[in-house]
Amino acid sequence: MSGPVVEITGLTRLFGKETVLDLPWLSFQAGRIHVLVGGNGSGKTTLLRIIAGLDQPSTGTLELFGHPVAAQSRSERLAVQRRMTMCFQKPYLFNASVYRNIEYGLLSRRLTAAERSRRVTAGVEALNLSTLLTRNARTLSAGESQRVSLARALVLDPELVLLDEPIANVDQVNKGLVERAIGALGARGSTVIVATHQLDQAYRLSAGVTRLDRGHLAPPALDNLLEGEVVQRDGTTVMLVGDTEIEVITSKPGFARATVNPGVIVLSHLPLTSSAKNSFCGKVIALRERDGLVAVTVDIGIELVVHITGSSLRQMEITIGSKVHLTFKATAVTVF
Amino acid sequence: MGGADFIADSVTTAFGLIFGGAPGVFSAVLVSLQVSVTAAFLCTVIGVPLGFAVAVSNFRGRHLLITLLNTLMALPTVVVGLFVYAFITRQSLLGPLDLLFTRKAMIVGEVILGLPIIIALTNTAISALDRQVRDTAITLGAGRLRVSLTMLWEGRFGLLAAIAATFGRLIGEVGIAMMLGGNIAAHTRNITTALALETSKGEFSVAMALGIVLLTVALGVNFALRYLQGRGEVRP
Repeated sequence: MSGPVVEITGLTRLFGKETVLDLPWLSFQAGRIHVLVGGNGSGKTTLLRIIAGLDQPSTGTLELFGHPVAAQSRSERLAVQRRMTMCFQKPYLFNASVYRNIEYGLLSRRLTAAERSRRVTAGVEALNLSTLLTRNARTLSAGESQRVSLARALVLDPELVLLDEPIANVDQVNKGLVERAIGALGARGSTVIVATHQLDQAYRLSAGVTRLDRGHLAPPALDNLLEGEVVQRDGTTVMLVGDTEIEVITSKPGFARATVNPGVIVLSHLPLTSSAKNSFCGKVIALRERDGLVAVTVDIGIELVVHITGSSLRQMEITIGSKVHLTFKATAVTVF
Repeated sequence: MGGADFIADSVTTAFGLIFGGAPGVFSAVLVSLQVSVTAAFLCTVIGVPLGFAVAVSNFRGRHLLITLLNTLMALPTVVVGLFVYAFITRQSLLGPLDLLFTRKAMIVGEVILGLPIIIALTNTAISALDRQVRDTAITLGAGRLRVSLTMLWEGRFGLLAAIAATFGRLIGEVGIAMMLGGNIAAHTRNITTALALETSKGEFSVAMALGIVLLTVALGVNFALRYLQGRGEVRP
């Protein structure tokens, strides 16, 4: 389906007198990976639990697949539950074999034994669990449990997947495996909402990052988010963002997301002679005050935001339309 | 007779009673098992769903009910016996059913005795479960019945302990068996009433031997339950 899979309007959640979630409006589009990012107590898990039907909002409405949840009968709600699933930060695995755990959700969906077996095998292979199939799930490590939990969700082929800190306990070796599995879910059309406190992981998974701060929607986590191909060119590593080439430092070729810290970009009227590898000429297209600084948006083929002080702005007599040069080092670019 | 001689004599007598084929002992064991196993089964069928409901529901007076159930776990058996006696004696409401001094009456009494125990212990076992059992089942698309069955399955060790505790209380009780069964030989005489009779006759060795027989039977049933628990136990 196109359009939002999840739409939230005027939603609040109170625990006692404390408001832990207050979201005027928020929606998650179908067939994309969305990331909720925020620290402890930011309301990520509470929001996922409300979407999953495990918690009720104190006020406001939640629409899933285009229908308000509050108006649904029990059987309608169960039908919606079976179109989605959730993986928890500390997953609970039933006191049974890994196979039985992964098969659990399929048993509610009236599939044939052959289809169940096929799906379990596919899920097991995707998350490298083949050697653990007959083990009792309670004997697994935290990272293995996390992977079983993800496999249990994958095999359901859900339209909406809610993942709460899916990589929190996974070791370095299997992190890539889990991130690829999440990417595969998105690639086959599932809508995925991932909650994480790790900004780098958030941007590795998606450009669609929503930041929560103490239960409220917060400004975007990053300025200058870049998406492009990392390639080797003449002995240097560059990221191709549209027609703009930005020199970066990374060992991973292929599609990547990156950011340039607006505070370390040098803005000048003339090109600088320096060791910095990235130097661009562009035109100022927006000026905005933010937190005592001025955010200058410059079009260099892509839009980059530069933070300068108000006095610098006045001294340099920069206005909208001014021609400027931007200079920054390859090390100023963080590739996720 | 010294204490050690008394115990040795009792153990020898017990083995003689068990393996010697004494018909009175076999009959008492049979009555004890029939009545207690039936009553424990009925307690399980009725009490486990009720205990589960208490654990997962949130209603006004829930804490009061749990306190009441915990209190009723210490219910004196003679009080239950007297209570049921009042309902099944010939002149009473259920008199025409002719239940007095039958095994059925003993079963009814034991069910009343065992229900608070199994309800309270089931509530404890299910309440102690990780909240995520329910949440996980729901997010994997389980309906209400399957969520409940999953919770019971995950709490199965606690439930088996609840059943074992209830059975232990039932097979060892004497007040209900005496008042509602009447201690009729080969009919309602079970191990505990036979033991009480032998004690009153001054046959202490035989009484002690019957006590050992009772413990052996209880041990056998608990071994069976332990075997069931062990089959599903996790050994990391």
